[in-house]
Amino acid sequence: MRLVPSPWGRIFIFSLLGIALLAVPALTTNYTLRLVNNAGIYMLLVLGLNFILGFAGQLSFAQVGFFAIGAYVSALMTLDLGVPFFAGIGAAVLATGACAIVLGMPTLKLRGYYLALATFAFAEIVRHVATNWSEVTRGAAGVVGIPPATIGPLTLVTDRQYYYLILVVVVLGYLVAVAVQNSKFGRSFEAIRESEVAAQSMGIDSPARKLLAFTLSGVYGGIAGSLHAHLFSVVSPDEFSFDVSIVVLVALLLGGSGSPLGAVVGAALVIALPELLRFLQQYYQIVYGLGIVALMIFMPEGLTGLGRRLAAGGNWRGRG
Amino acid sequence: MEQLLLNGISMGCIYGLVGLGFILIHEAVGVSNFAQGDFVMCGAYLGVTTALILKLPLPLAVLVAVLATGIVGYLFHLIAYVPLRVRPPITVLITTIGLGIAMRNAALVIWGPWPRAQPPFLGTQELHVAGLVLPSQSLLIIAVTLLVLLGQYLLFSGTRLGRMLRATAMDQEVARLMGIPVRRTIALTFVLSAVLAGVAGVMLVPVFLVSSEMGLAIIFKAWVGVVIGGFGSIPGAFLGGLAVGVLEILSAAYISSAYKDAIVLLILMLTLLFRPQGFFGEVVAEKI
Amino acid sequence: MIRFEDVTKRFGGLVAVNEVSFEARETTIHAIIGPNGSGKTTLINCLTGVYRPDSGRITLGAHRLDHLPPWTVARAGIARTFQTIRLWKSMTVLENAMVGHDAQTHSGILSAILRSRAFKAEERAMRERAMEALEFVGLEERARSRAGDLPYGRQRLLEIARALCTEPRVLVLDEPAAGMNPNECEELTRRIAKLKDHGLTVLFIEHNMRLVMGLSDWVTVLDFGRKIAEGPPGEVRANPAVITAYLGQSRSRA
Repeated sequence: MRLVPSPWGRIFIFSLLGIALLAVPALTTNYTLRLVNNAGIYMLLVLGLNFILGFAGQLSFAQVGFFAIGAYVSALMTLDLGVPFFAGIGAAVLATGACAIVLGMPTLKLRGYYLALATFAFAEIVRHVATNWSEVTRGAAGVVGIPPATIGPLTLVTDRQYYYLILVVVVLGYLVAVAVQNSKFGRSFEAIRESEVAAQSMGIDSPARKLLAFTLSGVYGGIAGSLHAHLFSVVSPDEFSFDVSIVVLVALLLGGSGSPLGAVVGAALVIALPELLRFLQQYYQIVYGLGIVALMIFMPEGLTGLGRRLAAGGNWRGRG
Repeated sequence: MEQLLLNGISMGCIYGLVGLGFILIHEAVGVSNFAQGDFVMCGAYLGVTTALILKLPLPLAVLVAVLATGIVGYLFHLIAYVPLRVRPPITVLITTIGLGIAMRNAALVIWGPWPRAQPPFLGTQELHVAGLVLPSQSLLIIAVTLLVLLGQYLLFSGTRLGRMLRATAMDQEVARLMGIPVRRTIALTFVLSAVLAGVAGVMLVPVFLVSSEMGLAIIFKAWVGVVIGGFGSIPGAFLGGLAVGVLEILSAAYISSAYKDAIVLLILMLTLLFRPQGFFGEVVAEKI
Repeated sequence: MIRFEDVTKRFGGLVAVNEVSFEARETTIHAIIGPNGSGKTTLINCLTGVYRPDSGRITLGAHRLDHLPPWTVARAGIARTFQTIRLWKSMTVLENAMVGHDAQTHSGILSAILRSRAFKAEERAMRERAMEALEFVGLEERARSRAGDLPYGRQRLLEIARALCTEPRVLVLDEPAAGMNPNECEELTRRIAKLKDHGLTVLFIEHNMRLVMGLSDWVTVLDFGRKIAEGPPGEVRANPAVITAYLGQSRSRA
């Protein structure tokens, strides 16, 4: 937060922000609140992608796969095995973490476009299994009647209740991301991103570090999936198509790849924009596609990158 | 059995043509064109327009559709590649994704959401050849593919243009130093790539339902073919696609129709894990 | 201490390094010289694990180094700089040096997330060590500057500082004086000599003959991937084979 260096200024802004965030459910309609909750879940997905792409510089399309695994594991464990909510989300974390490690170990050694393809294939395989392993996943129809999340004696049913849960999780997710960024891990990720050979020559086991980033992205995806399952109480395979990974990617690029704040801002925008641009009707997708091209040409560093340049009073040319 | 094999080979030809277009762009500019499948869709829709809507005679309709797809390829390269020439390839990859989305939805707006269909080009469903009953469109696809491959071979090895294309694909810097107009050659590579996809698209119209999403399934299989063939190898990309086509049909017939996609995906994963350079590609040492 | 035994490295048909054998002794300053393309950087890349030699052995004391990944070689105590500068330009000077010390730390991701005491202590140690290294090369004033904003000569010094943070026993420098003016070269010579006093072994590639003659205890000469001469700097300079190799370059290889 270089914009506000004084500690009192920072406390003031954070307090304002905190009050605003807590007041949101009182100020919005149920429909908007559902959107906000969805945005919160996407914030987790995008924060996750930020670890592997933003920090470590490796393009991955696996987020939707982790999202699906987290959702299904949570759904099935709470519905079929009757375990409490926290056990469900814990199992989601373990499952996605394990998948990330198994998927990441051989593929992170490969060159950039291979990882992109391999993660794409992984996401497709997950969707495929979800659609066809009907005995467990209920096939194309999906899982319905997922029990609501429970925290101790509280059962979360309304959007308002989920809002507070998601808010806490997103804030924690954000703080963890910032903590990682401002540590030797964050620095090593950036080193790997800019010159992996140099990082390796300084003693950094880059495959292991990349695997760490990838696992973090998987775990964030799993938690997002779990929250999604309980919020919507329904999961089905067609919710987890490749398009979701694209949306997550666009969100990160729009907000600013490499910045947790950018991840959060990008996710909010990517959920809000379709609503705000509803008047475009069937032309929306065309605008969306062309918007991605324009983003890459004119603002590849995203909004936070632009903000940083403005704050530094620097030039306007994109660096890409 | 022969019918099956022929269908597999003809689908494999389609995947091969698409993969060929994909690898040409990849070798020339180091970019994975995620919209390659949407060029196929363009070819298919343009084919429907020229043949069914404008009611041009079939050979002319095909030619016009294919050339029009080439023009789409040129425009595509102007938007997705030229402004990002000096940026890292990953930004172009993302713009191809974006432009692909725009193209698919533009098609939806222009031609409407209902899938289009058309009877086989030769008029009949099946041909009786050498005592066998064979699907006519599959035969036509294979024949056309062979013609296209021959044309490409002649172009690349026999003409100056072809040599320029190859040189640029091998090493842009060296090509530039040799005086080759690299920018124009790259534009031509995109056009050629689109033309290949356009041919595949037009040929597919009687076989596939033409819809805005048709490119996605095809590009994925074509990629698998490219990976199996090996990223550095142009013939490998085609042969890989061919292999995928045959494997897909055989799996559907002998194992399970529902899981045929899973088997293709599994083969992709296994290749990536155990032989990432594919069967024909070269492992290139990174020069420091 | 570092021994190259018949090290060979091929790239397709080109033999970049051809059965090169020599030893760099402990706490010496050892130069590797030779015309352009003689395989010097390739040899260094084989030593630090960036390349895998096609045949031969490279050992550090009793440990075999060839075929090890670069990070293992670095952790064994061999640090390096690069001929083409490979700094992390968007990070600060201090951060670049701090990353050098990463492999010496042990706290895990959980400690980092929870900001445990052990983690904070390690971060502090990394920062202090990095500042020490920056002071050694005279860059402490620019600690908060962006690494990419430094002038060329200073960037080379930063690479040295970063390498020093890995707590090496051997420092491998690839053309450390490239692009430096005579004053900067003097400084560099003094600093490298001081490193030797600190017990480091220095192996360096250079084209600047004054630097080589003034600094090194021992020189190995490569040409077309082969070792053609070896010895104290005075001897090597007078060696006819060496003279031919360099003169031959200006006549036929230009």
